[in-house]
Amino acid sequence: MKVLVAEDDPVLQRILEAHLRRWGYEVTLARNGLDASRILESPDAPRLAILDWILPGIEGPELCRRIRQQGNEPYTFLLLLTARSETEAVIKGLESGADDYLVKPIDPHELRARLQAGERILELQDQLIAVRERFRYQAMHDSLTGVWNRGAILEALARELVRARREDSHLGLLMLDVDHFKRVNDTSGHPAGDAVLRDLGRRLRGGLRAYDAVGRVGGEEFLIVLPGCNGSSARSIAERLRAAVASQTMGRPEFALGVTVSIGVAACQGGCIEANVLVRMADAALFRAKRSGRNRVEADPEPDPLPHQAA
Amino acid sequence: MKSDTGQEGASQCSGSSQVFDRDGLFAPVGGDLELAAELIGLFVEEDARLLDELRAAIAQGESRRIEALAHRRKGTALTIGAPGTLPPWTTPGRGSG
Repeated sequence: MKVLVAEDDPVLQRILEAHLRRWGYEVTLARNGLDASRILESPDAPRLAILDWILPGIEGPELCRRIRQQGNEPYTFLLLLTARSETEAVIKGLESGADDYLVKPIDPHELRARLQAGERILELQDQLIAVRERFRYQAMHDSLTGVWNRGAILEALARELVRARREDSHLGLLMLDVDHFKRVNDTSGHPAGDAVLRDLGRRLRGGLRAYDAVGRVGGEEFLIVLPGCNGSSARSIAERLRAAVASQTMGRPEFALGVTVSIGVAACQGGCIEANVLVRMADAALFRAKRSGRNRVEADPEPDPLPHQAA
Repeated sequence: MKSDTGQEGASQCSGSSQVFDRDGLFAPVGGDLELAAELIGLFVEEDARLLDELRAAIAQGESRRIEALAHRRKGTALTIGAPGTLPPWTTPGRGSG
């Protein structure tokens, strides 16, 4: 593990460096508070830091305050080093944001024990962050297909509408539904239906730009948010997705199935339409695609005319 | 005082009017003679630099700077177990920083 030693006394700095290296730490050295601050703000910064109270440039407690104000994640464990052992100084140091406190002259055994305590705290925090991130992922993703879930895709739509309003830009929306999906489940079984949905999710993600968003909003229904797309380009993307799905079988080799999708297209400029209205427009277009024979793309209202088609 | 080997550094701690306090020197380095010798070299350099700065601060009457440098000298001396380099009237106890 990396450790920053910010200490302007070369003798003490060397003692700390020698012990830390002997204990297997990777040591980064700073002789003043400005360098220490720069190192702690850099990417891949040490997560354990030993800071002398008195440092040229920025003193230890001020450095602690700045790091805590930034609220960096992952957490940095800060150990203040000082000659001031009186209670008032200890309180001041800890209130500045230090996690622990070591009084000079240092006892190597005590230093090592305090660093190990710091490592335990960092390890615990890593575990908590990992669990939180897993829950966050689960809360926003559809577990079957891996695309956004209903709540997350509707949030993405609302966010992109705000952006379109701010930038007076276009926004396209696709509502996609697997044709005769009930028949897939009834004739090939639910595992086959699940495999089709998983495959579809993967193909949709692969066929879109990095900043497009795709989410599963119902059983076999997907919503796709296309920032910057007017009706024509949204319709082109929809047509491309429809053709890609229809051109290859889906599911596992033992029950490869020919599946088609119908897609409804809606679009607006400048975010002038509420999210639920835009969804209703796409849904109405999808209904028309279904009614017109499926494996089709329909737009509602009709997308913006291309320049050469404009009156 | 400047030594190349830990043995020499260690032997200098044994006199009665010693510069270095044996425990104070060896405790922070965990008995590592080589490291102790290196620290003595660093200390001699650093102490000379601090004394120069201290003289300049005294000449210019910079009281806060004098105080800071004196504390710093005391801290460095106590870190390496060299209280004998400090004036006899120096308050015993912890160093600076």
